Amino acid sequence: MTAGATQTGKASRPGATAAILAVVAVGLAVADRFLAKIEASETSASAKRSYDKGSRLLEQGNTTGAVDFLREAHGLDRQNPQYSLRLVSALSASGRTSDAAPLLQSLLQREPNDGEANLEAARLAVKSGNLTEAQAYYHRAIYGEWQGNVNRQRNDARMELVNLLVEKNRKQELLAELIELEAQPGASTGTQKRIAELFLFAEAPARAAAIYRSLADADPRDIAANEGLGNAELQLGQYRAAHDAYQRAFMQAPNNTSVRAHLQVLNTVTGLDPTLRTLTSAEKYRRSVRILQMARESLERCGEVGHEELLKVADDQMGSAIPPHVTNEDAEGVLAIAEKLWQAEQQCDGAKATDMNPLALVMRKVAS
Amino acid sequence: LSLVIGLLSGLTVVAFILLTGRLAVRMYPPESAAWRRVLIPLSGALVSGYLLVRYFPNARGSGIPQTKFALFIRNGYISLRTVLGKFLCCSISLASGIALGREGPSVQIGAGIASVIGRRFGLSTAHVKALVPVGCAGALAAAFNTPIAAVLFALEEILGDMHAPVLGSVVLSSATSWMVLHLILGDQPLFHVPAYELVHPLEFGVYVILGVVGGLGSVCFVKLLLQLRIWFKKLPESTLWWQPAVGGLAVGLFGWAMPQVLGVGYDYVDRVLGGDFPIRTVAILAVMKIIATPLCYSSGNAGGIFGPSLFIGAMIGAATGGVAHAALPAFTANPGAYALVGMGTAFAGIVRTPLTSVIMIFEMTRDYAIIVPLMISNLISFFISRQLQPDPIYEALALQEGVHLPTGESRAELAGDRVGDVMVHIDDETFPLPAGTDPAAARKFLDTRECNSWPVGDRQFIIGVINRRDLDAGRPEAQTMRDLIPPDAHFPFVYADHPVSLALERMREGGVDVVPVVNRAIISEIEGVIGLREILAAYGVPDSAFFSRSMPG
Repeated sequence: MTAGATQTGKASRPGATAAILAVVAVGLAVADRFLAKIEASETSASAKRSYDKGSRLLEQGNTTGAVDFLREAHGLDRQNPQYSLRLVSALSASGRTSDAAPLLQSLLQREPNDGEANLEAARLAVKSGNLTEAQAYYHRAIYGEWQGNVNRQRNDARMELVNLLVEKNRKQELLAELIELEAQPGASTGTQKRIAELFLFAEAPARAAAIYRSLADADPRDIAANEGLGNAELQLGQYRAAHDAYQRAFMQAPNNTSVRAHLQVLNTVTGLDPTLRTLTSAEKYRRSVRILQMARESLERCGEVGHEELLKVADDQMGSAIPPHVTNEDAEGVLAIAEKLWQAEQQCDGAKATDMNPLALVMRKVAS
Repeated sequence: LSLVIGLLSGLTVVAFILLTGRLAVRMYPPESAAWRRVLIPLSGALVSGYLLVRYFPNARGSGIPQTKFALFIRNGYISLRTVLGKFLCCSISLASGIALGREGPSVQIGAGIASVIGRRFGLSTAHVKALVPVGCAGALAAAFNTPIAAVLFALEEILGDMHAPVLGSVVLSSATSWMVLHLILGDQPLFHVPAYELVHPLEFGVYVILGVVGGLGSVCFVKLLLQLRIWFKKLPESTLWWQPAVGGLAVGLFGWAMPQVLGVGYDYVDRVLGGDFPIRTVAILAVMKIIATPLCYSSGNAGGIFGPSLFIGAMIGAATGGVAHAALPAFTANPGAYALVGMGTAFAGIVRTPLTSVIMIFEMTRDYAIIVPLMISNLISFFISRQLQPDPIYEALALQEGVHLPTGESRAELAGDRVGDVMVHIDDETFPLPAGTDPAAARKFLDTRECNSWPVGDRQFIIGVINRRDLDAGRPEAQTMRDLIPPDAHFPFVYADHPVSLALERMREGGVDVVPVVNRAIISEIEGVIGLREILAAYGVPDSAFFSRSMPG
């Protein structure tokens, strides 16, 4: 108890002690600032070195080595989103999506509108098979914040989403994205062709035709534009316009086998098409009988039983004499039988109506 | 002064951390040759060993036992030379890769700063002693970036009293130091941990296993350290300056094979907490560190065991979690979560501060989701460690130095028996002196009871305590005890849960030899009485001779 009351001896003047303490505190603060500055600069340089090495390895496909270096970079400078993102890419590329996900989540918590981070999140969601989540992240990326060429990066992100939708055969969503993409100004010819091609895939041939037409108008010697236009017109059932487009492409590239094949098919279709207004009733009737014959052969080839009655009706029709005064109604009666045969043929196993089947093209036109 | 101590200890510890880190970078440049990992720890140990023997003999070791020596046997005295020596020698040894931590030395540096400031201002030794934990808390808050755990550690480990009167000063110092750290280094936790959560209730079983493994690992660590320390102490004094080189060489050879074992190793812990590690590597590192740190410490290098205990815990946790996750991937979290809990487990097992360890891990990682598994594992580890190694590490180290520090148990012994264990309950034989008793009858009553004072009231409720002095000096017209005791009179009393020592205090203050034991809800309701006779009887002193001598008349 007495120790508690003991003075610790030589008490220097409080004022002098306070002054010394103040000087020491200022000195320490300056030293700390100096050391902290050195540390920040050295850490940053070290992180950059690791980042560069990791990025190089990632580009070379060495994902394991890349993860090591990029993790080091990220550990040294956690505030740098570029390092975090590259680490996420490396982890994702090495199949460690479960490691990448929390890292990305913390990054997104910090920067929820970061375009690149959202794009990485979308890629991760694709890898884990969550398409809905992936689409949401792609949209956040598209409308997010980017550095550098914003429009190009946004279009690239959308194009990535488009490719995903093509892969997953999601035509409705694809069409919506393509419409947005088409509306972006300044798209290159290549991009426009890709958009038109995707419109065709999304079963929007009219939009595809419009793009191809503008490209073909701008450069009539553009083989791909003319061929694309032919494809679009073919899907629209505009066989004459399709024929013309293929013809223009053929003039530029006579050895193009695809164009040549399409032209041959369209020549056949043109010779068969009973819907042309300029045809006489007799010619229309003749073409209808020919179509009926082809439909019968097609149904017979399918080999399924149960169509005997239909085949018999077709045979009776073909075996009957040609009326002395053929009318359009006679031709339409024949076509009606042909349509029934065609519908039955479409139910057959393995039946496939391709764009290269003249009968299919004609029947489509008749049906429309 | 708490603010000033917090400020200065914070600034000093930040400088210590930064300097150590920058020196380490210079000693081990990126992609440096493997020979450096052997020679640099050896050289660092030799240099710091020489400095410690020649200039700073009190700066050896961790800093925690030394701080406790200062607090309990040197009236809070830590010299400025020791503070400077600790700073310098630890910077050299830790930067060279010695497998020790920076937190223990920081605590001694902080305590030293507090002690020096207290003495410079001419404070009494009692006040200087009171400032020591204030400095400890400030230093630890900056070293670990854990202000709450720093306060708890100062109270739980350094003072051993969670209700110490210096609590306010400790909190102030810790908060100030923490703010200094944030101003200079920014708001970054010591470890970055992804958000972990309990995946399945089955995981509790794995955390129990982790608690057992962590506890056993802690016991191995502590026993090895204490045994090695005994061995080194037997060596001739002339070898003292190069003894640290043994630790330096050992850690150098380990580091040659696995560089992660060098230094504090927080970078690798951070990586392991992220769940990125091979199980074999973390298991080997746990074993290496359990051997390397005791060797470094026992051979006399300057540095602490906090950091290594966290490292060992993280490796043990990662290895356990890795095995569990490989076996039951659908029912267990990422092994990083186990590494996180493992840190606390080893800390609780080695340092034996379970509460501090839980709060510390929480503050270091800022991950609340893992706190329940953390508490379970910590407690298991703590109990295993206490069973297999009864003496806590710092007390055991102090004993090796011939110093008997107060332990938790000894403090509990000091608190002694409770009043409720010793008092005489109110019954037909023991009851208050009725308030209507006249003074002459009262004197007779006291004579019969062989005491000088007694509570006054009815069977249940009392109005005060009367003693012979009051009776002798009382007004002549007083007819009864009620006339002698004024209404609302203050009288000494105790509660049944008070320590017996307090009853003695109250007797001294009230000038009585018997005090009533009253109900906590109704102070006037008497439950029993406690007197010198009962207290002496509780301590085994026969009362007959004593009272026959002391009783008046």
